[in-house]
Amino acid sequence: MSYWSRIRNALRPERVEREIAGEIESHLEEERAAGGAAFGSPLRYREASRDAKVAPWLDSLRADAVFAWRQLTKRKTATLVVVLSLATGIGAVLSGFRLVDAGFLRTLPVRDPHRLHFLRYTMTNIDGASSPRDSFSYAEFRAMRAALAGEAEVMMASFADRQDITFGGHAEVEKVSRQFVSGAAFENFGLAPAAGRLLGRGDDDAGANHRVSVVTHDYAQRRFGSAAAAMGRSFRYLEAMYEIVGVIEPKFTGTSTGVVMDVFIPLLANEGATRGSGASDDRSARILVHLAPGAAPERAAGKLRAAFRREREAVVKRHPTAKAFADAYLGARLNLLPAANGISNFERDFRFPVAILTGTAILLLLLCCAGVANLLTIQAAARGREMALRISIGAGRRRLIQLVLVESLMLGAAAAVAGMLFAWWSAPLVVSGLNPPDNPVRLQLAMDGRVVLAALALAFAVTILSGLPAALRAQATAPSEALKDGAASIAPGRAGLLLTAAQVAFCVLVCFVAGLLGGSLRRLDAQDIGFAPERVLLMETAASGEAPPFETWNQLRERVTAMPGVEAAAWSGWPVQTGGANIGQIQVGARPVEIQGPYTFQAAAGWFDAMGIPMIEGRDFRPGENGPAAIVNRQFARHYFEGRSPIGQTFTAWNQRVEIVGVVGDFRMRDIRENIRPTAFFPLAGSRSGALAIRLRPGLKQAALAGPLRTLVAEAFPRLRVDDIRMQDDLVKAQTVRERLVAGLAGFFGAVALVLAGIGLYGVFAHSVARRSREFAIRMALGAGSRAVAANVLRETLIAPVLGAAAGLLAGRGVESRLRPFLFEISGLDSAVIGPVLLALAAAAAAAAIPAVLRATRIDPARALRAE
Amino acid sequence: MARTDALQGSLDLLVLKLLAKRAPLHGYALMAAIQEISEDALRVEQGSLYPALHRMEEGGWISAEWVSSDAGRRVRAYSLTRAGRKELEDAARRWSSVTSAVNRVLRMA
Repeated sequence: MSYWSRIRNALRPERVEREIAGEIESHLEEERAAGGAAFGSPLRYREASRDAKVAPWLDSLRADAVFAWRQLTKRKTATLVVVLSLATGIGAVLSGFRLVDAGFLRTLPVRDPHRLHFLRYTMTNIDGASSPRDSFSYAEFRAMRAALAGEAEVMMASFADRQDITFGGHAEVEKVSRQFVSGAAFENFGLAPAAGRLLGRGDDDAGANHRVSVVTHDYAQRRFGSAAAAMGRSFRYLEAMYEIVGVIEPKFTGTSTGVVMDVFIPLLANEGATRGSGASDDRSARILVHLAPGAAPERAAGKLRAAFRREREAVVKRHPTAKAFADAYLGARLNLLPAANGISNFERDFRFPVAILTGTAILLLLLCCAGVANLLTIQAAARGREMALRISIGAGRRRLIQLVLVESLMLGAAAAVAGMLFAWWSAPLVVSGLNPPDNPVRLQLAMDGRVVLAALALAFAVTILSGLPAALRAQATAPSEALKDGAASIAPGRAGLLLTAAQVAFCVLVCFVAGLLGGSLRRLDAQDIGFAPERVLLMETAASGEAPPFETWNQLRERVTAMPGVEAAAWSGWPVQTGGANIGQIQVGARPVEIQGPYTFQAAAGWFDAMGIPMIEGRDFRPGENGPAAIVNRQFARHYFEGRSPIGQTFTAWNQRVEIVGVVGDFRMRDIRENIRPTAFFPLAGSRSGALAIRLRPGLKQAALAGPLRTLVAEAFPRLRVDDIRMQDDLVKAQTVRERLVAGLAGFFGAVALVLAGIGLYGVFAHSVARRSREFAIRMALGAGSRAVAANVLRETLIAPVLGAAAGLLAGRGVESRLRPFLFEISGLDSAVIGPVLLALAAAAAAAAIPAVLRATRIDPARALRAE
Repeated sequence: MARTDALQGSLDLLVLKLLAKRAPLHGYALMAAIQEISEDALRVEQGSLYPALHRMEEGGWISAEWVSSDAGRRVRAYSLTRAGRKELEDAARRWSSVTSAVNRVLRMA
């Protein structure tokens, strides 16, 4: 049988009709000419012939589609609202899907990604919590490589870092994402070069003097226009020149899925990685393990654990330390984890915000579905007579379900297309919003078949979710009832109430989460971090070779202070608010050294002043001071001296007795969320690197000074180099970038949810009044006041929203416990959170109810009763 | 194609056979021919004939085109396709096996 021609016939019904009618006509003529009998019932034969010629299911589908289209275009506003709200929901979910897909789901484009693993160990933190870490020392890498020789390829890859490099002079610095990798990595990954060659084992052995690098195709394209054009270029990174010897094929962008790398440098060119072998190693690289085919991960993990433990025991033996530190160091638990999807900071840092956003988006979509379902159900109810008539003249239940589902399928499809456009536009926007200014996340957001498939799946789910209640309602129409008294049969069923309640519950939940995140962000912004970062410019500077004497650092400081626009400048060992801190081995009185002892920090004369940290008592360090003196913060004084003045008191640091000469105000050292901890400051006098805090005059921009500062250091201080110049304020703000984005998006979702709930409630109210207009007319005719009527309307319609709001709040409290790590000093019970949510909902409900209530009270009994 | 009963099968067979011998024929001519050859024993309902024709047309056994009849009227005339010819052989074989089986039962019982 030719399905194709039957499908084609279904699409050109007029022609088929014409053919059949013509043929019957000609038969009749023949018959008349022969003087025969009448044809019988031509209509019936025509139907039978039609069924033979066209696929009946398709024909009915076509008819339903035409009818649905007519219905949808007749109610243009309602259709537009439905499509837009569904599109917002679908778009939001698709955006979330794209992020999750790019960040977490895709496998690395390397050979046998499922054999690729990485190492992570858990260790007790300085704040007492245990946390996972992926950074290893070069010595540990060597020990593990030896332990698994022949069973696996063990590679090392540093974290992706934003670093300054320059292809020209000192002033033309650009930031790139650079990663150190052990040479064997690319070969092992089975990658091919797009130009030149890739790093190989030879580059591993050649050592630190072998200055080559390869770049990603993306970078070559962006920076030089093509892979070939990048070949042979040289750039300066730190104090060395690197030649680009190859460009990697486009599919590989780094070992972190989705995060696009720029420059790869052989690991051994990283001095920090190879220097020494002790606890003071630069631990800034991950270890990747590509198991040989058939090798068991558990077995490999056992061997690695043993090697890791041996290496750490050797370090402790070489560098004796306080027992608490040694125990924590040796207590590290090593795990071998799969890395097929890539390992990245993105995954670590953004899993949570992306999960929140995607979760909220899904909630929003459910809310949309509930709203649309409610709307369609009401419409289906209002079409009760039509449905009854259809049943009476022989429409099957299935046919009625199909009729309603076709309509919602059309809505779903339109919404999916609009949603896809929305996601295409919004996902990159979200990614750029996730970016801290100094460390942009560049995800590869493919808009490919997976996204289209996801969109189709969503459209289908939306169709079913939003259309099925209405369809079931339509097919359950009892024709005798509906035709006898159309009005009586369309009372909103329990399903309708449930839908309204669900809609309000989703809305309250989304708004509640948005309120929590927004409130948390406001608390973070409003808190006192203890210093004034707004006008402080940081210049991180390091020396090549030997540590220069204090005099060199001081000269640079004086030259900077003399620059126009600079109010003050002073050195510290490293910048604050970068997530790191030192724990000193400090003993006060008879207390033992603790793993969670006080922070230690190095600051030179004038640093507290430049940073805007108040001096409470005593004195600042003197210029060049290098004696056994220390300044402590108030928390230190409170903790160790019960609030008595600690000036003149002493404690032991690194087995040396130091005297407290001053007390400064508390400030947040590591990040803006931590609790203030006891901190001891020691004078900075000559080191290999430091951060110059430069306080600018009000109104001066960072850019105005960055170039001159680089030129100054390059020309007048050849032994020093500038590693980075950035605003202290950016370091602070960067810590709330995620919160800002998540709170902003949640707020947007909350607003959309409110509008949707408002529209939904309006529909419910309006329908309720329309349905009961006769009853109200009778009540009013019997003397009921308009107030009683209004109360009556509200009583019936408000039950569902109130129940829904309660359910939403309960669910919100449940979600809150999961959100806890992301929240700052706020609880859902805070009136600042719950108040606005309930107020907004009440306002939306009022706006939705007022028109309906007004209409109810203005019913003219005489007219309403006559109309029936 | 689903064959619901033997009668429908026989109608298909009759139509195919007639078309094999006398094509092209239009619907009324087919009806008249069946009636005439069977000496009024077989009478085809219009309500069965046209759906059957259209079904067979969709099945690709017969093809149709609008032509002018001898009397100058526009009629839709059917003729056999190659697939139809094959189906005719199969159907005829099926028919004779069924009728001979029925005959055997009638004789033996």
